[in-house]
Amino acid sequence: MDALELSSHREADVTVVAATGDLDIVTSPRLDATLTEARRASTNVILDLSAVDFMDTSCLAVIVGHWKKLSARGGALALAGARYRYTKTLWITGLADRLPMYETVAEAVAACAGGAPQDAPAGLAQGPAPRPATPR
Amino acid sequence: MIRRSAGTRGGLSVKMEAQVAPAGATWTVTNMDAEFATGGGFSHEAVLYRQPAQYRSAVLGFVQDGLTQSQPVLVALPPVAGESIRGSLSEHPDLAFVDMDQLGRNPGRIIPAVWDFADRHAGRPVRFVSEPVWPGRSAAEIRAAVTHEAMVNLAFAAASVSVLCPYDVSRLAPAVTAHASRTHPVLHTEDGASESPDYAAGHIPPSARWALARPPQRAQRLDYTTDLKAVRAAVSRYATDAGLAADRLPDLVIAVGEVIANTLRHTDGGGTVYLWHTRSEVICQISDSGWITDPLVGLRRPLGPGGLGLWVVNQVCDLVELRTGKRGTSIRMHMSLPARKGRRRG
Repeated sequence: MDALELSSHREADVTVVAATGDLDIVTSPRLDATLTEARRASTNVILDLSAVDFMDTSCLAVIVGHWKKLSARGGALALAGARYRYTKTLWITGLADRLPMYETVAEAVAACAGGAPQDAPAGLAQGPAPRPATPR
Repeated sequence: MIRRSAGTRGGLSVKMEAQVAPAGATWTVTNMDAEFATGGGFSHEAVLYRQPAQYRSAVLGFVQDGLTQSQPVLVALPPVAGESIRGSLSEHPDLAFVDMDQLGRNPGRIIPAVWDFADRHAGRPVRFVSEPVWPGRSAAEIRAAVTHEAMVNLAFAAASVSVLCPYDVSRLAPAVTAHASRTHPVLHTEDGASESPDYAAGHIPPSARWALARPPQRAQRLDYTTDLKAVRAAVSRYATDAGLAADRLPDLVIAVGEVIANTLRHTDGGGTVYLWHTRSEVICQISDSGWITDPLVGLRRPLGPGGLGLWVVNQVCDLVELRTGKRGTSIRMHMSLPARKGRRRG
């Protein structure tokens, strides 16, 4: 099995990209390509991270890049199903507080249907806080 | 970075007793007029103390002086001393505390935390109380802490950050104090403040520059090129078997992931992972042919999503030793094992 499998489908007028496996510097170009395609199809894109086992900072750069491009068009990139243990990089870097995050794809789709989430909407996926890296 | 001699520095003279003595305090302050660099600019001063009163006087004076001038102050001390100092100060919106044994467990996290604090108070000079070395730290930790002190002079040279670093000279090895006098332009002793005659900008202790000791014979060795997933899996298995706590395992895997990704990003070859453990730590060293030319790499939260790798490594590891040069880079990451009986010995 590949280190990363990617698939896309439409739900309502949203494109959902599901990632399975490891998101790292080796696989991030494919994530980039898939998100680029999704961005051509929809202004709202959901990245389903529920089956992601690892995430490094090169993928964060890819995700943030697409998030900015979609936001600039009045759309959004939302993350769904991120598991703290496997995608802790999102929390360490503080991106979990800045990107729209939902527990499930269904919640993310509903939020997109109700108007594009800009950032930190209600229903934000909650993970335990990482060990304090900065003073409280 | 000595800008003014201690005797002519401007600044408030703070009468300690009136401002900070808590009701019913039994201690008395003997060193009355604490003078510190003020206003903008960078200062980095060590307090070489032998008596608690000297320590309290210097730290409390530095904090009060800062608050009086509307300078936010971050205090990072080991817990017992920190609680004592905290108990002597009133709550203040510009005053923050952090446990140094957590923040500074890995000294590579200290400078990033000061930057975060300064960024939160952008436009204002800030102060930082930092006791990065305390009795009981390991030799590797002390090397890292002394290197940290040297990096403070580079990192904040152009920033409005005043740093005061207490050193318990009655309990620390003389070599530690000697390094403090090389890394701090100004020293406070029982006799008052003076320029450090030994100060050497950019001083890094020789032991922190020498190549790392070879990994032990028993270390597991793994060469890699592009199969990063296999490396992460091997590290995860090894650390689990060695007893690394389940909630710390992702930290090590993330750190390793960042370092091996850097090999791919910055070199045209592969690298080698060495894994071993002692009774108290899992240690993972990664060596490749890269050369990191920025001495401050990993010491500031990057503004964008690029260049995060070594900053993340510092955030999640308990200690990071980095050696880099023309012949390559080695990064040795330490993760503490939980203290419990019956663990396999290294």
